[in-house]
Amino acid sequence: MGNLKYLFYFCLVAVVLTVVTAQYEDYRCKCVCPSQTVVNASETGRKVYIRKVNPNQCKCEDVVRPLPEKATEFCPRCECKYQSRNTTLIKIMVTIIICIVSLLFVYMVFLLCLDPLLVKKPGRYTEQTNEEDEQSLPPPAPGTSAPSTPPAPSLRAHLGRQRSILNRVSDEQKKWKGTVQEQRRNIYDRHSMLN
Amino acid sequence: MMDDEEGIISFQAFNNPASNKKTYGSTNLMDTLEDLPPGIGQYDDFHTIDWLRDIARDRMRHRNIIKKKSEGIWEKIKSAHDAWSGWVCVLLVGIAAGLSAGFIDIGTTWMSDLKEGICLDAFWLNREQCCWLANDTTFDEAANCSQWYTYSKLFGITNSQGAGSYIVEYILYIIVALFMAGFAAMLVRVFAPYACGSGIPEIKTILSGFIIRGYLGKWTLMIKSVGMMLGVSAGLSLGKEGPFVHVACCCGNIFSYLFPKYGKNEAKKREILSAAAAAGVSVAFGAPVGGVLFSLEELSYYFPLKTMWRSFFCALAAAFVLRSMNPFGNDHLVMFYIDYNEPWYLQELAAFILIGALGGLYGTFFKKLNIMWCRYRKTSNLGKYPIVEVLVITFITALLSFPNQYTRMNSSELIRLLVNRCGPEDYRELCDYNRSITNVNVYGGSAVAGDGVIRAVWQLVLAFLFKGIITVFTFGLKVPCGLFIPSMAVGAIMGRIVGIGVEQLVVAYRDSWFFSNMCTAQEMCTVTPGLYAMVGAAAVLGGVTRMTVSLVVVMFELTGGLLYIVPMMAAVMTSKWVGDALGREGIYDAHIRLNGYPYLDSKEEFTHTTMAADVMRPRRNDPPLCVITQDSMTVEEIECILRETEHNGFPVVVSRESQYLVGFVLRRDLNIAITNARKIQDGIVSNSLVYFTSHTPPPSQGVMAPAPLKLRRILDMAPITITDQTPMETVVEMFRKLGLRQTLVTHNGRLLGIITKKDVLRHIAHFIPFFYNCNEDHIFLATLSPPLYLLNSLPNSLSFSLSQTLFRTVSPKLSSELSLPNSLQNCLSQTLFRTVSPKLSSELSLPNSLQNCLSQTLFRTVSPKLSLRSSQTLSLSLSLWNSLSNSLSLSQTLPPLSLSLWNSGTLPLSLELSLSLLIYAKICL
Repeated sequence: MGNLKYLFYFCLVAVVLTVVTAQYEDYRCKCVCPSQTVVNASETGRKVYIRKVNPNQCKCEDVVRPLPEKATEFCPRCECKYQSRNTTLIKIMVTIIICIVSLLFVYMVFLLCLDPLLVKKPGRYTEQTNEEDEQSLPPPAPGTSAPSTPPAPSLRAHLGRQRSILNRVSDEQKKWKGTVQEQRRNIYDRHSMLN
Repeated sequence: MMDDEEGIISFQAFNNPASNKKTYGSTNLMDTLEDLPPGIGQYDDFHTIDWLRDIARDRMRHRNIIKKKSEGIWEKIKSAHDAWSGWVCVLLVGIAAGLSAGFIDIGTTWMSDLKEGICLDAFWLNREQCCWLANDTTFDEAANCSQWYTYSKLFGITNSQGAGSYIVEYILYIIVALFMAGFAAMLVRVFAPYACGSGIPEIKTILSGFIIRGYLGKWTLMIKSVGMMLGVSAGLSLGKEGPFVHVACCCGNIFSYLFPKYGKNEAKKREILSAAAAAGVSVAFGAPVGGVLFSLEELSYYFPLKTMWRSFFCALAAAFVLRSMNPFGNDHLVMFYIDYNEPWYLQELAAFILIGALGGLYGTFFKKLNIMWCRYRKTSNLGKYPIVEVLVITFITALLSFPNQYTRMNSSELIRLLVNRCGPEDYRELCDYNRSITNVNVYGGSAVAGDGVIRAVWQLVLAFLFKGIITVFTFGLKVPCGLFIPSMAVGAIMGRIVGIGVEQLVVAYRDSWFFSNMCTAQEMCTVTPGLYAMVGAAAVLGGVTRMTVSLVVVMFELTGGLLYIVPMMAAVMTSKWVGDALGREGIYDAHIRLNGYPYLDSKEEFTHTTMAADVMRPRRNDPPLCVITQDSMTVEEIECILRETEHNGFPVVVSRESQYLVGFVLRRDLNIAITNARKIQDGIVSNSLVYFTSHTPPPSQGVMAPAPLKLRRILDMAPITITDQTPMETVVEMFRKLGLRQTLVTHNGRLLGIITKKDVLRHIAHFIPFFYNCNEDHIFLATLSPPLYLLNSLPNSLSFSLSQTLFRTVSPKLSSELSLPNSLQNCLSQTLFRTVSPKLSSELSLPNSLQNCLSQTLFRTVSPKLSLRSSQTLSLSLSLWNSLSNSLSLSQTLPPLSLSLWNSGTLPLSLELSLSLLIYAKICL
C-alpha cells in the first residue's frame, strides 16, 4: 500500500502545480428578466443575461444588453444576482477524484486478476489440495519461503533491511486482506450484517 | 476523591469477610493500568461495551493527571492538553467532515452530468458550471451552450432534436450508469464491504455501545466517499445525505486515535462519535442545530450534556468549512433551499395536514415493503448475487428514468426544481402558467395553469410512482446508499402535485368566501406550490424515519426562517401520528431488528411484571453458574474453564459453598493476563494458585508450592448487583440508563445468577413476537399462519416454519395469561413446539412411534403445570393423556369428547390449553 500512497501524493502535487490560473471566470452577474415583449416589440426572446461585472455593478442597467428603450419599466421586472464560484477548487477536487478512482481501479484489477496468479506461484510446489483453502482462508505468509537464495554478504544488510520493509508491507496487506475477507463473509455469505 | 474509592473497597470488604484484613493496599488498582499487558480493558469484535467500567477508568485516569499536576511544568502542560483535547478533536473532526462533504458534493455534481455529456474545454466542470458564462443562453438550455457537448453532439449528430441523438443519448446514459454502479459495487466488495448501505442503523448500534471493528476505518471512509459519488451519479434512487453521517463518524474514529483519552476508551470515543454524527447531518443539510438535535434524538444513546455543546461546535465547524468551499456555487450548503417568503394562509393548513397523512402512509408502506424485500434478499438466493442485483436495478432505473425529464435529473436537482417557485427564467412545463405579464409583480401570485402544467403533473405522477417503488428495491443494495434524498424527492413530488391542485382550486374559486382572504384586491392569489413540495418532503422523511424535532429544525434551517415552521410541524406531526398508528418503528429501527443488532431501544416501554429471577442465567434446569473462586483455583482449572465455556465474563466468589460475591472478571482480560503471566513471570505453572485477593498467604514451609498468580488488578470489584426479586422494569431501566453490560443477581447476599444485555434483549423481544425477528422471517409467517391454519391446506415444507411461528406466538400468550415463571413457560413452549412439528410433518399417517412421542411430550407439557396446581387435576390429565394417545387413531370421537370437556367449564387453564391443542390437531388432520 505504501507505493500507492506515494503515487497518490505525487498526483496531488502534480495537480497543485499544474493549476496555474483558472481558465474559467469565477464570478458573474446573472439577471433574469421577463421577455422584452412586455415593454416593447423588439423581440429578442432572451430572458437570462449574464455578464462579468463587479458586484456593485450587478444591476439590470449594466448587464442587460441591448437595453430596451423603456428601461425604467423593464428593469424592475428583472432579478439580478451576483454569483461566485471557485473553479480552481473544483479542478483540484475533480482531478483528485479521478486520481483516486483510477488508482482504486488499477489496484482492484491487480487484486482481482494478478494477485491470485502471484499468490499461486509459491503454492505450486505444494499439493493441489491447497486450492480450496486459498479461497476461504488468508493465504499463508510468504515470508518464510521468500528468502530462499542468500545474497552476497556485502549486500545482505541492505537487502535485508529492504526485505524487512517489504515484509512489513506485505504483512500489513495480508492483515488487511484478512479483515476484508472476514467482512465479506459477514455481509455476503452469512448475511449477519448490513442487510 | 480517594474516599469514594476506599468506600467502595471497604464495602466490598464488608461484603467479603474472608478478605477483610488488608484490602486498602490495592486501592490504586486502576491507576496502574499502564503496567498491565496491552489489550486489557479493550473489547473483542461484536461485543457490547460496559459504559460504567469505561467511565470509571476514565475518571481514574483523570484523577491521576490532577494528582500529578503539581509535580512540575511538564505535567501542567500535559494536564492542559488533556483538558482541551476534546475540543481539538471535535474541531479536527468537523474540519475533516466538512472537507469530505465538499469533496463528495463537488465530485457528485461533476460525475452526475457525465451520464449526458462532457465539458470538452474543461472536463472538470459539470454542465451548469460549464455554461456559467455562456452569454448566448436564450433559455437555460444546454443545447444552446456551445462548450457543453452531449454525447450525440460528440458523435457528430448535429440535429439535437432528432431520433438519432435521442437513441444515442439513451444508450450512453444506460451504459455510463451501469458502469458507475457496477464499479461502485465492485469497489465495495473488493475493498470495504462495510461501506455499503446507509450506515445509520449501524452507527446507532455502535453509539449504543457495540463494537464493530473496521466499521469506521480508513478504507470504509474512502470507499464510502467514492462509492457514494458513483452510486448517486449512476442515477440510482439513493442519496448521499445519510452516508454523510457514516463518513463523519469515520473521521471521528480516525481522529480519536490521535488522542489516547478517546482512542483507548470506547465509552469516551462515543462522545466524539456523537459529535461527528451531528457534523454529518450538519453538512448534509447545512443545518448545524438540526444536526445536533438529530444526533440527540435519533442516534445517541448515552448523551452527556457536555457533549451537546461540543457537538454543536463540531457541527458548526463542519458547516463553516463546507460553506467556504461553496460546492454548489450558490452560497448554500445544499442544492435545495427556499429563498422566498410568500405568505401562507390558515385554510392551507388542511392541505398540509393531508400531505402529512399521505407522507405517513407512504413512510409506513415504504418501510414494510423495504423490510420484506431486504428479508427476502437475506434469506433467498438473491443475496448471493449482490453485484448482479445492483446492475439489474441500475439498468431498470436508467431505462425507466431517462424518458421522463423529472426522473432523468439528479434527485437533489429535482427537489430544487420542485421547491422553487416559478420565476421568469423557468422555461419548464412546470411553470407554464397563463400569466398576465402586465403586472410588475407578475411572478408573485398564482395563475391558471396552462397545458404545460397539466402535462408536467402527469409526468410528476409517473415520477412519483417510479421513484416510490424503485426506492424500495434500491435501499439495501450493496452500494453506499442513503435514504433521505429519495424520500424527500418522493415527498416533494407529492407535495408539488397537491400544491398545484390547491393553487388551481383557489384560482378557480377566487371569489368564494372561503378563499377571499387569500386573494388580494388585484385578483392576485398567493398559493406557492414550492412550499407544498417542501412540506411534502418533510412529511415523507418524517414518515420513513420517524424523526420529529430534529426534522422540523432541519427544515427550519433549510427554509431559513420561522415563517414556514407551522406548516412543517403540522405535516410532520400528522405524518408521525399516521405512521405510528400503522406501525411504531422507523426504518432504522426496523433494520436494526432485521439484522439482529443488540440495540436496547430507550424509547420503548417495558411493562411486564416479570422478575429478575425469571430472566437470569442459569435457568432452573441449567447447570449452575460458572464461577471462579478468589483464592483456591489453579491456573490450569481456570484455563479449563476458559476452554470449556464461552461466557464473556466470570463472577468471582469467596468460595463455592458460600457463593459470596467478590467481583467480576472479563474473559478477555483473564485470557490475556494468564497468557502474559505464563510468558513473562517466573514460576507460573499449571498448578500455581490464582489469587484475586489483595493478600496472598505466606508461602508454607516445607512444601514447594509454585509461585502464586495475583490477578486482583484485572478484577472489577464493583459490579452492579441486584436481588432476584427486582422487577424487570427496573432492570431494563438500569440497562438503558447506566449502559450496563451485565448485572449479577444475588439472593440473601449470595450469588445466584447473571443477566446480560443479550438476555434482556431476548426477554423484551419475547413479548413482542410479531415484530421480533432475530434471524428468521417471523413477521411474514406470523401474519400468514392464521389464514393457513384456517385454510387447512398445509404442505409439508411450510409446516415446520409454521410450527416455529406458532411456538413464538403461543408462548408469550401463555405467559401473560397464566403468569407462569419463565423457565416453565419456556419448557411449555418447547414441548408445544415439539408437539406441533411432528404433527404437521406427518400430516395424515402417524406411525405408532410418533404417536407415542407426541403423547409423551404432551404429557410432559401438562404434568409440570398440574403439579403446580392440585393433585386432583393430575388424574384428569392422565385420562386426557390416555384419550389423546388414542385420539390420533380414533380421531372422529375426539372432538365431541374434548368439546364436552371444554363445556364442563371448571377445568384449569392448562387443560383448556391442551384441549385447544387437541382441537387444533383435529383440524389439521
